[in-house]
Amino acid sequence: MKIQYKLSLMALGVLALTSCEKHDPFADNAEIGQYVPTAYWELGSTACKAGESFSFSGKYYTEKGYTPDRSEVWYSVVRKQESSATLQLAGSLLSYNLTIGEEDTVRTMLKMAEFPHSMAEWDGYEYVIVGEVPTSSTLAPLRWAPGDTWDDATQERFDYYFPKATEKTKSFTDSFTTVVVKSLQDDASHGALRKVFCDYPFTNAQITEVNTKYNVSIPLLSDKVVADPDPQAAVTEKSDNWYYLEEANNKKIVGYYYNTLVDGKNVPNEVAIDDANLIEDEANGNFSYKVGETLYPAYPVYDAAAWLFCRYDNSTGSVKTTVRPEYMPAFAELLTIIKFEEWILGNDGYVASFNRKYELKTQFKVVDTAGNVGKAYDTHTVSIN
Amino acid sequence: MKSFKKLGIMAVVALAATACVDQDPEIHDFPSADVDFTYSVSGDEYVVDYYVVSPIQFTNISEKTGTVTWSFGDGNTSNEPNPIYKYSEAGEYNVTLKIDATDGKSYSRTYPILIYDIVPKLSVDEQSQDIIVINETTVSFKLELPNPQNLKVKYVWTFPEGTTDAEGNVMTTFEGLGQMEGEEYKVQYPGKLKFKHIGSQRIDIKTWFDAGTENERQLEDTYLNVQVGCNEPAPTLYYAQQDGNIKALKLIDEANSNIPAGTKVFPFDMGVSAGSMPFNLCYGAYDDQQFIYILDAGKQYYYINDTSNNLGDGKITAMGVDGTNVNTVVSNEGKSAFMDPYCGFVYGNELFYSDRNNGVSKIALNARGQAETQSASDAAFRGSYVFENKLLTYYNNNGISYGAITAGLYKDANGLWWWGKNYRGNGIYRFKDTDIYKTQADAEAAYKSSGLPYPIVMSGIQLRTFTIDEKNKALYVWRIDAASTGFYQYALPGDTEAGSMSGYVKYVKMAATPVNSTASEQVHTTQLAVDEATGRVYFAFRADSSDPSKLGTGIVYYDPATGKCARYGETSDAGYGVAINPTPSKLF
Repeated sequence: MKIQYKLSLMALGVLALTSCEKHDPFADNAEIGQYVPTAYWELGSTACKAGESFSFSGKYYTEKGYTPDRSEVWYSVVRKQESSATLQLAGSLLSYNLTIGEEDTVRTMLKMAEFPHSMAEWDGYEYVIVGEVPTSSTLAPLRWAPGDTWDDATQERFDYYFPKATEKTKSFTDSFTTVVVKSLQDDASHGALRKVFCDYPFTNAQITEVNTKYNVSIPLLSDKVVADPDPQAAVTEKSDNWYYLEEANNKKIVGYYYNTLVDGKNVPNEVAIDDANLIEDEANGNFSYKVGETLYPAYPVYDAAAWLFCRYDNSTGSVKTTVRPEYMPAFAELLTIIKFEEWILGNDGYVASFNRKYELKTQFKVVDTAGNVGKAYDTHTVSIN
Repeated sequence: MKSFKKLGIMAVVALAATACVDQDPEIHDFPSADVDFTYSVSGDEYVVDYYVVSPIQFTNISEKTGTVTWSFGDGNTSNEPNPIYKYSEAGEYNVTLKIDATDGKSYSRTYPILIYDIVPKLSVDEQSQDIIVINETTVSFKLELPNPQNLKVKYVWTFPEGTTDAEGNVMTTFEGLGQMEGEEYKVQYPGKLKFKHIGSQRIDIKTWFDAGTENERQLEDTYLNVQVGCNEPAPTLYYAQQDGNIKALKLIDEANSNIPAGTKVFPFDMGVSAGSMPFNLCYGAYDDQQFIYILDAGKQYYYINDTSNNLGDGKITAMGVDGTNVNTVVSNEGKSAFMDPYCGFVYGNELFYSDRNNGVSKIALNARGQAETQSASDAAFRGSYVFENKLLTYYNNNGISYGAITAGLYKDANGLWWWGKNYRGNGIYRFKDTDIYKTQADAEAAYKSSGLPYPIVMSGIQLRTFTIDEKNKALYVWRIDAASTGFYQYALPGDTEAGSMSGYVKYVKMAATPVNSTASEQVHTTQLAVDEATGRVYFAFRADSSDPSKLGTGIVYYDPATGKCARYGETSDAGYGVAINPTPSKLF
């Protein structure tokens, strides 16, 4: 009886495993009983010029009782697009590149060529078919770059190729300028901000507007007498204004500061040079600032323009200059005046490009006279150039 | 127990009877699912193009039957069983077939379709010689444009610098019309043209339908690269353009050629992708076929803790020297990131190539479609390795340390290997095949008994690539030492010599863009190629903003006769690998 029970249980177990179409471990991995022709293939080249044909060599055979009818090459079309622009206005002081790429299947897998079985030759083991598959000249790659002139036609082409704003995403230009303007407000980008301010021809009217709006005093170009009538003098003047070069270079101490920790970050607190709580250790010349019973290390603040915080930085052991927080909104607003194309203008023209390429995802199929379809295991990618 | 057995059998029977939810047999996808369709361009014209004007045949191949609704993605629908539809505007649409089936359920399937605007196709119609060469060959063109309504078309041609008509008159632009003349539609052409400069000469075409009317519509621009060769055979330099294609420049030796003065050498765009990080190109020939092998380290070219050994994305691609017969030689896609190909060279009928830091492999020049082999149980082992770090006496504190990144690979005519390393073990290491041991223990024993086979060349040098000119006994090195960055020429060290970093013959101070901000992963200049004919050394230079040479980004050569570097060709492409096909040819 025992063996009968065991055999019965085994038989029923097999029944249980195979009777279910949804959870059949056998049929999940193989199409039992469904015969298909066996096919495999290779390409003559994985690159093809748009409008020309790519060659292939296919091999196939059928089991006894089945007859091949035809072979087919199918392909889908995948489009790859990439829009890119690189910041130039800040020179090497701030690097930024925005590249937005997308890859989409733009045409589904479709039969693009058919070859009757009569075209195939028997090589003693299998049928061999050598054929060519057409491609469209519309799939030629495209590269567009603005060159060194940004006129209406350039703007029209740029708008045509580069990503526009959607409900969920900013336009390419907005994404680019937002990051650049934000990056220039970082303390670490102080040098880059200075370069942009000096190089870009902001007008006095623009500077006056932000001065008034934010109650600050970024100097107008006429605030400082320029003896040299050289056309570059304005830049020199802005550069001088920015740094107060003489004073900063001579490290004239105009005050001290000490750091307090707020939310895990060092926040500098400036104190006057004659503040009674500023204590000098005469033994080593170091300063401390007394708050209650606590002594904080204090470091020199050097003379500089009103919008700059120029000081000795203990963590790096060197002079560090950053824009004062109360001035930054005014500079940030000035930066928004700069147009997208002005940010990307370098010595060799506008540094932006749009690239579009297509790829074909190809598949080889063999159909027998009974309608059974065998697919080659390998799908190949053909780059269109 | 009997009751227990009976209960068990009853449970299994119950399982067998109830485990299956769907009682109806499912029809499998051979080829149709419940709902499916295909589409194709109807008729015999432009069947692969999917132009706006094309009638698209949509064919329902669904197993399910019922009420059919087609949505073409542009707001229009149809209830025809198999509609033919024309899109009025170019674009990408999603087409949906929905079937309200007789079983009371709805089924649908959506496929994308790209409808292309009409684009003129410009091609060479006739040329007076087999190969188009400068100043000699006259070329006429053919413009094809699907225009079933015979609309009036305006074309504006823009020619590259140096274009002339057959009589030698300069041509910069040409405006022509396509329109009905009597019963015939005729297109005006600029006539036969000649080209003064070498390389891909790009002709741009702007096209308008109904120009000058209220219905005027500009079509997408198109262009044709006319491949214009030299008037006499010359070697060819290939380079991998950063984020672009493989390009080629004819190498003209101005002093010994009959190329007319003023001829400019523009690059040929081979139309073959250079890959993500094509650090090296190699020229190789077999069976009268010539190929350029593109060694692409992939996007994951720098260190990553690839614990699953599946982040590799590099590959080696073979491209015929004329840009045809492009095929993958060996792919490391989905294998260990450390195994991506970095640099290599052709020796005989084999391509030798290094991975990032561990070893050197080889593969036959005619191999295609291979996958990198690798043991899943030992990520550091690869079946095709010719050698790896640990099989050399230099390994393990004798020069090369674990993780030392490859910075150049060469095997000279005497069979001596030269292997550049940076990061851990800066220097160039030399050995013969007999200095490669079967096990690490053998290598260690050999070191104890005999020491190193050759002195380490310039131990400590921070190099990114090097090459050797055996004929002129020169060693060329690209160094990145902070104060000494740039191109160096050294005398080739003899077998017993180590060379001296400061003992250079010439030094050109240059700074290349490092690409990667991590010091040990910085790329700089990735390959140097010696032109055997002139002894010049070519490389793709991506100038850093701090570059003191002021040469700018492009292809640069070092001339040992002058000891100076100079730009070559009319290109400012940023690039990586370079290789020279020494076989003189007018085109490729």
